[in-house]
Amino acid sequence: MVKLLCICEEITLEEVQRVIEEEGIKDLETLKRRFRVGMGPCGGRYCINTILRMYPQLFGGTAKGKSDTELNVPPSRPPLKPIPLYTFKEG
Amino acid sequence: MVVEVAIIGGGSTGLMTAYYLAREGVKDIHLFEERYLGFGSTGRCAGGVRASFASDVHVRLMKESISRWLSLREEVSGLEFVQDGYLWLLTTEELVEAHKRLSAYQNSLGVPTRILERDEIREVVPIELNDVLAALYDPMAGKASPLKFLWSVRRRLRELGVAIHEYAPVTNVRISGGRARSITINESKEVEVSGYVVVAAGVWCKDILERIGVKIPLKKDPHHLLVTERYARFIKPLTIHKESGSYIVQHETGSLLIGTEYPVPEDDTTLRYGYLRKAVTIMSKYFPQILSANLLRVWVGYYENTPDHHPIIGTTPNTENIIVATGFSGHGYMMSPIIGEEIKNIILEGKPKLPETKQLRLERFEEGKLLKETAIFG
Repeated sequence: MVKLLCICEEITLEEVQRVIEEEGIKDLETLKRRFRVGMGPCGGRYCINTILRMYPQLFGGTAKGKSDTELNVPPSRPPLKPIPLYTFKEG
Repeated sequence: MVVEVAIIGGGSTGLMTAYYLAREGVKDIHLFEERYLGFGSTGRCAGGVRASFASDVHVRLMKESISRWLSLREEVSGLEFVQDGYLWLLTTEELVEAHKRLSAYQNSLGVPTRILERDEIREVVPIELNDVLAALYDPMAGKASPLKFLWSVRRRLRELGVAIHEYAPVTNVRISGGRARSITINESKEVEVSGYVVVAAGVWCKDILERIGVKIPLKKDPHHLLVTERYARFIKPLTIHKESGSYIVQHETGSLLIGTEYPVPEDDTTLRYGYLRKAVTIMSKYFPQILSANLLRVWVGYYENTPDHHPIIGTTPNTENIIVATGFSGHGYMMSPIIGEEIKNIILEGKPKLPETKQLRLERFEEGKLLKETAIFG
């Protein structure tokens, strides 16, 4: 069974685990830029939370009791959900 | 720990410096980044690459840089560079005349730009022409995804044995007898440097250099950028509406990036609704199809501007082994391959190879030898 860690970009858990190991990725911000996790239409709502739940399996250690800053959780950027560009057109 | 070369800054300039040094077999290269690779301006830029500038220094350096981009695409697995061109939409007679002269100038330096008439523009992009009178087209220019650049170069550097230290802010550089002797990481760990210290920390170079008494005329210039969800690929060249300083670029993933001139105070990175309105209103006039694309994110990144909008490259005054590379005024990413190679030349040969690089020393500001550039946008 294929386990998707990121639905928007269709990234599997297996691939993420392999690359973290091979490329020595140690933090969420780098993982984000490597796989575009958190950069798709969900804005990280699904994938970042999944990654945090799986933190021990992915990065070792635990995410429990640690702040977003300590865990390098990428900041949320507006808009909260995707909206069409015509929303901003003047005239 | 003793290191041969300490590079401060994990953006494109630092990474390319590490790459060209490592490729020459230099050992003990250590790169220190305050946050993660690409936190500064590289991870926030649009990824455009062009040699179609308005100054000899920029044109010549960028011609060299483009040839490096083409090699890097072969040398670094995963790195993407496509020569899809740049297109400037010109909406006034004055702009058309100025760009005819600009194109002739660029042609004389071997950059094959040309003026396109209205009907020719449609052959390059699917556009509603509206008030566009003509366009300047640069087929040699292109785009390189900054995110792919970051992870592919990171992976290659690890293979080459470069030590990358992330979340490792350099808080001090200790100097004695006209030489940098060591750097301090996070106010606690001292790292001895036997060779060179390269300061390639973008806008943050100013803080690092001021701590060692070197003044540098650098101004932060925040610029907004937006990205949309993936959209069917329809526009190849990075396209600029010259009159308003707006641009649009679509990368291989299909995401559209749209920027525009929207001046804000130096330290103000607040997201402005007005930017979105301006960028979308102007670009949709020519490319109405973008109106159905969904906005994903908006962010702000810095240009690090110098008074003459040209970079600062070279050793700092009074120290023989500190090299600074900053002040790219919005062009650091596209220039990073040639700049990285020139810093390698300074370290290994004692001087840069290109005469243009020699004109970029910090001392030019005190000596009043400022360079000229007129084609800046976005």
